[in-house]
Amino acid sequence: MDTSHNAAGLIEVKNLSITTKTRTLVSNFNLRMHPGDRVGLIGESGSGKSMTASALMGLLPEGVSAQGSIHFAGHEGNLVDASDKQWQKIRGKDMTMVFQEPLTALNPLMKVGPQVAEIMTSHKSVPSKSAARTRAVEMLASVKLPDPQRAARAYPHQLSGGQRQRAMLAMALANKPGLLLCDEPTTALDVTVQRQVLDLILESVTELGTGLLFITHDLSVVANVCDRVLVMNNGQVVEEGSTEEVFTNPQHPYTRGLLAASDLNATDEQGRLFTVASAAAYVPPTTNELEPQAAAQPVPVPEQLTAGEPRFPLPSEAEPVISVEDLHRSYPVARSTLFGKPSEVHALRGVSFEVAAGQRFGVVGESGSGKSTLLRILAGLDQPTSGSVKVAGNQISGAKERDLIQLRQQLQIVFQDPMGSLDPRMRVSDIIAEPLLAPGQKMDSAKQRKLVAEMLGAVGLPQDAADRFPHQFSGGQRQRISIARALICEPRVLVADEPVSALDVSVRAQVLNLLSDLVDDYQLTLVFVSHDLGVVRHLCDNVVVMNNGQIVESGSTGQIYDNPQHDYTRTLVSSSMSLRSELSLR
Amino acid sequence: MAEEQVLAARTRRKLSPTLIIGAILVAAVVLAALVSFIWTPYNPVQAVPADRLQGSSAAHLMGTDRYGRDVFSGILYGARITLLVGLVAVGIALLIGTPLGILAGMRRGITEEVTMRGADILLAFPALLVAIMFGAVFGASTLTAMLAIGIGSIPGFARVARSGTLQVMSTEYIMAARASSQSSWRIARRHVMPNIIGMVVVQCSVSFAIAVLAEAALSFLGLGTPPPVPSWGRMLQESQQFLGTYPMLAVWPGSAIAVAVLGFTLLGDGLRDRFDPKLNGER
Repeated sequence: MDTSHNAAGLIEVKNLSITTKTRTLVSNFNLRMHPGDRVGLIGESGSGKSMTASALMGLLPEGVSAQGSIHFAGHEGNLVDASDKQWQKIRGKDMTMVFQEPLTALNPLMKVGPQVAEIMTSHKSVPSKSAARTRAVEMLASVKLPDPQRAARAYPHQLSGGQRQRAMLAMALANKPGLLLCDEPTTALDVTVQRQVLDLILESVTELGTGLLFITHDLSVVANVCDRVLVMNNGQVVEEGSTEEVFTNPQHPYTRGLLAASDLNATDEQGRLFTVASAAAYVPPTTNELEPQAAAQPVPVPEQLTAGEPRFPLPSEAEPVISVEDLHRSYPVARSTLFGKPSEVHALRGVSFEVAAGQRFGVVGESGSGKSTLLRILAGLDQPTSGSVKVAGNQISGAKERDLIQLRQQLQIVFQDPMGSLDPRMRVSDIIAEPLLAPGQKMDSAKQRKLVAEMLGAVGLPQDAADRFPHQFSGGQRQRISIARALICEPRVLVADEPVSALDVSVRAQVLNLLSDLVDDYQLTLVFVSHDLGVVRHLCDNVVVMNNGQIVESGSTGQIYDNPQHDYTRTLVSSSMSLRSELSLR
Repeated sequence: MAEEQVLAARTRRKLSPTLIIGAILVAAVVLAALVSFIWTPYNPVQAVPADRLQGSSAAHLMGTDRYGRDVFSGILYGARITLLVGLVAVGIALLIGTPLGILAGMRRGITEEVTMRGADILLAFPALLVAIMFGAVFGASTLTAMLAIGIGSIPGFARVARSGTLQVMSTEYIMAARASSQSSWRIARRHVMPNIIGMVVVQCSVSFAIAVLAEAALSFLGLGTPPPVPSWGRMLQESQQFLGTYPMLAVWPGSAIAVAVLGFTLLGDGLRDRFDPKLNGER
């Protein structure tokens, strides 16, 4: 009784489990899609969502095997046991995939046009090579690459991230597949580009009637793109249903926790973000509330901050902790030809701002906006080309290493990458104690141990963490270690460089709450650099928006988000997605 | 107490087969060298024309060569030369090349240019050529062979250390260290060195293997250890004309070289993995 070959079905997965010799990665996965269905597969890292996608494409890594059944329209038999030869006929033709990292997914030594054409010639879906070339340009035009002729002649590195992802999509759609798998296709992209690429994916699959299986950790993206959602946790689907149903009335506690932690617009009675632990009190968005535009959303700015409405620039009652004036930074670019003129990249062009003591100052910008350069200069890790930077009374521009010691006692950084920012060869206790070893500091080991223990307590890590190595911790825990290191020498200013962008949603909320608490407890001035407008909105009271090395707009958080003046800010705000706004737009 | 836990964690870890095999092979070579100081079955340099070119027997475990010298005694004694040359040559390269590489990787700019171009120039002279030069100037001896091989191995260490250092210097933990005003010396010692040690250890084992082979080659060419002191390389050379008739004469020193090279390579790989806390299984 083979009912799987239902005429209307596109793909039917039954009882799929994925195992290694020692572990079960995914168990009992079921999925049924019809042509044109758009299904979201949500899960955090390690949930098995990418493994599932690999299994559906027959691309499981060595040593990992799948059991169960996969039936795909137009192909005989159970694809779990399909041979490589069989898969080659399916992959790239009837079932295609768009990957997360567009730079590594494209062959760097091959021009984009031929890469798209190759997909068609290898599946013989076009009569000739020249037809394939023409069709490739058409495909590139259909994914709205600005100049498809030129794009076809370009190498992948000559395209921007968004353009590469469009090219990937052109490849994926070239043979009009029945099913398109997207594995976090927009995670590596900037906010404004993400919105465009998502719109494009949505438009293309609707037009071609392609089924879409969209794998992501980002709930707002799913709310934007998908009709149906599967929520995965620890290799199992814990909840399944229509997007509205799952997001407004989650049944499983994990889904509820994930929703609560993702929703940066909702806070508990203490003004803190919900975490998986406190999710019970979380009220999911209701369809009722969603009907009128989401504009009516209450802005969750903590009261003491709304009261003052600090204007920018601040009236200088007190000396600002950070004052930056007409800051420029340009980098020479190595000559590409022997007689060519050496050119320069202007990372910062005329940036000025002030941060008052106790402020939570957000710096928002996309990649290439100069926010990281700004941060490095603030920390004295880089020197400006011109302009003046004063942090806690220390002039940075032109200062010698020796003069910066004072500064670094006052300003510490939390970095983005939770793995890369901790030396893998050092024990956590040594990592946290590192700032204490600055020249001129006298510190006996007993006192050092005591301070480390204190910091571990402050960031909510167990005391035995001190003797372990960074790799023994999860991403969130590593970020806590990073925060402990930054705060051990009691700085006045804490600079956070995208500290949560590499973390899972449920962990993100915890780290943001921790950061927020510590800023209060230690009376810190916080400079928070991020591309994520939602996070900045929750955490900061003042924001500057950077684009192309300049500050295009600055003001209080409420002002910027609710009434952006500059065009770029408007685009940025309208492109950034929040769970509630996406649901309300459905 | 913390120390005890660490030690406990270390000992709990299973030794990898690579490390064990490597250690056994190296130990065999070291043992042979040590034994040769107090005992060899025969005097390894004593020619006994009456016993020449004998096969393996109870009297001569590995037979005798064309002068009637006991091959087994020669192999035992040769282990000394091999170890000495390997250790000294690698030591020279390690102690000069690694710091230069780290310096180049941390300082960048003119320091890096000068160091690395210097290394390139040195690399352009094969160690063999340097050895020939040294031999011509100071006379062929084990010492000149060691020096030449050591100097010839410096660029390798400098390059490996520099590329490792560049990698480490671009990480955020170095940024964090600099943001805490750590001095360059401290960054080099606490962050850079521990993180490139794996690469350097591998370079050591590879260089050691190369040094052993180079010494054999130099002796083979008559530029290394001068006769009559037995060295594996020269024993191999002397066996050359008897390859057709007495192949075992070449097999014994050849196997000895192979064992030493394999042993040090495996030991190096094993040590690298062992020094890496990330490969420590416990979470």
